Amino acid sequence: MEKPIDNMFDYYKHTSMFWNDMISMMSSKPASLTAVGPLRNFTENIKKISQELIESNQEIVDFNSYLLEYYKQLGETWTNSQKKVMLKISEIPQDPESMEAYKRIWIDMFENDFTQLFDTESFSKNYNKLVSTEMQLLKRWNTIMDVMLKSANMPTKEEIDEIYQELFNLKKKIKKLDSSKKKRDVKNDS
Amino acid sequence: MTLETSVNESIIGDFLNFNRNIAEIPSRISVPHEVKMDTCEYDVVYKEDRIRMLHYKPLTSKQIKTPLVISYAIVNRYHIFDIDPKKSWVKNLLEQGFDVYMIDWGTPTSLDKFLGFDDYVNRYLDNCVEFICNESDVRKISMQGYCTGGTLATVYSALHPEKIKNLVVTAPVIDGWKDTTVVSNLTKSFDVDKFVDTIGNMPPEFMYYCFSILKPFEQGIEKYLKFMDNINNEKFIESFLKIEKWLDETPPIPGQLFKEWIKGNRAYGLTEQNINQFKGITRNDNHPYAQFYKGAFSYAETINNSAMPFVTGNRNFNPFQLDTPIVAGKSFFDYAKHYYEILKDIQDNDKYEGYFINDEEIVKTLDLRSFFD
Repeated sequence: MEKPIDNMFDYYKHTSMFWNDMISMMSSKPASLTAVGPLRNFTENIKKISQELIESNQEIVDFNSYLLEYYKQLGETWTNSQKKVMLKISEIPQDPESMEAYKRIWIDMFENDFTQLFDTESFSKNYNKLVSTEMQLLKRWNTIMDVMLKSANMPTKEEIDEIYQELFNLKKKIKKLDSSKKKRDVKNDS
Repeated sequence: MTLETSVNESIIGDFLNFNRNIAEIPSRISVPHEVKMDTCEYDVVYKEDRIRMLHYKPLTSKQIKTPLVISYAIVNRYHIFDIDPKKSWVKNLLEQGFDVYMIDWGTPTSLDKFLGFDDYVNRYLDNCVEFICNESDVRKISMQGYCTGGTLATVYSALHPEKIKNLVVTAPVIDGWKDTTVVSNLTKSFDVDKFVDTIGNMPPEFMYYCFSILKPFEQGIEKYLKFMDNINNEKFIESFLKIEKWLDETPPIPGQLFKEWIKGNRAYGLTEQNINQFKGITRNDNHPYAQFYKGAFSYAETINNSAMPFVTGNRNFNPFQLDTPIVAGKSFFDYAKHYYEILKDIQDNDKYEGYFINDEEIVKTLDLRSFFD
């Protein structure tokens, strides 16, 4: 017996995974009998898509909370800077000639406050969590796309990467051979 | 009851002018992507994968024998060194009689994401140097590296000193732990492996983000307000468009290279102590390296602190910012002595000519001819 599930997310994930696997097992045989041609691969791998979607649920929630925090940090800094600007401009004359001075104060205050924000540990941590979660979601999206591409009998990202790597190594090898041949030719000529 | 409001006439005038400028901009200036970026003429003499090597046509009849190759930064394009005839670094070198080559690292594609330091240094850079040596019938060349190109040039010179007569490095990215900018703060907890494994090459958009947080409002807002204010100033607009186009052409960085770059300090076991040892500053104060290093450092600092708006008109932007010059090879001592003497001049005489830099004199203060012949 598995240990009790602590929170809502784990409960949701466990339940979804359970039924995902069950439905997949229950339907795999009849599906493989009826699905032929390009849809066969897709039918076989559809479980992978739902698995990725279930797994991504927590990441979507995390991503949204990091994004919210990101905009909160920017918003709060903006409001504070604006308050400082308002205090400062009360000291300068309210006429058209002072427009340039107002612009300078606005830019300097905002520049200073925002670069201070970017320099904080909390901004750096949250921003990197945001980017990291985005990468995680992108990975899942790639996996889902791979399932779709496989079913359409097209090369997946992984397969293309392998080709790239192979091409890259071959090009390097050819360049090396070419240069050693040139050196040998020069030696022979002299 | 009558409600009276009064708006100052000059504000209305400014508002109308602004609107008129917006409407008239397209008919007054070139479409940005049609702006010509280069000043000096060149031939493309070598190509390999995405990279190209440019050879500039000479401007003087008397030529310095040792060719000079510029290894430009890989985070943006080489054009900034030759973007304006009045401030062109390349033109200035050509006028001094240098035989100038420039490496254009090109725009990497997904196929190039496996390119690392070894490919850039021991293959591309080495092949370029070999080509120049064969073409010019010399055994050694001079190399100038700028920014990340300076890092590649430094690594190359350390590995192939037999091919380098002079190494001049400006703003090289070497002791990165000293970086205290907001960009360094942002990368503190950056998971470079995950990033590169998922995306491949480092996209230019991410570079833009990193650059823009350095001065978000000056670069993101004030710059464009200035553009509107100067819409009738043809010279300003021409320069502005060139810089904007240059900024917009930032290429991606090959994933593997980016990974090695970020993790480099740990991977190669480089510490502040052994880098300083390389520069000679942890030895006792009487060691000549220490004096020359300090001289070079102070010179670079003096130039940077007095940086003037010579390209964009932006008071804080100095694309030719100098970092401590690191010079290796045969001319190291002469070159360092040159900086040491300049430092002494600065200290002894406030009116030293090279101290104050206006928009046309910045490259002329770096007259290096005597060290390259």
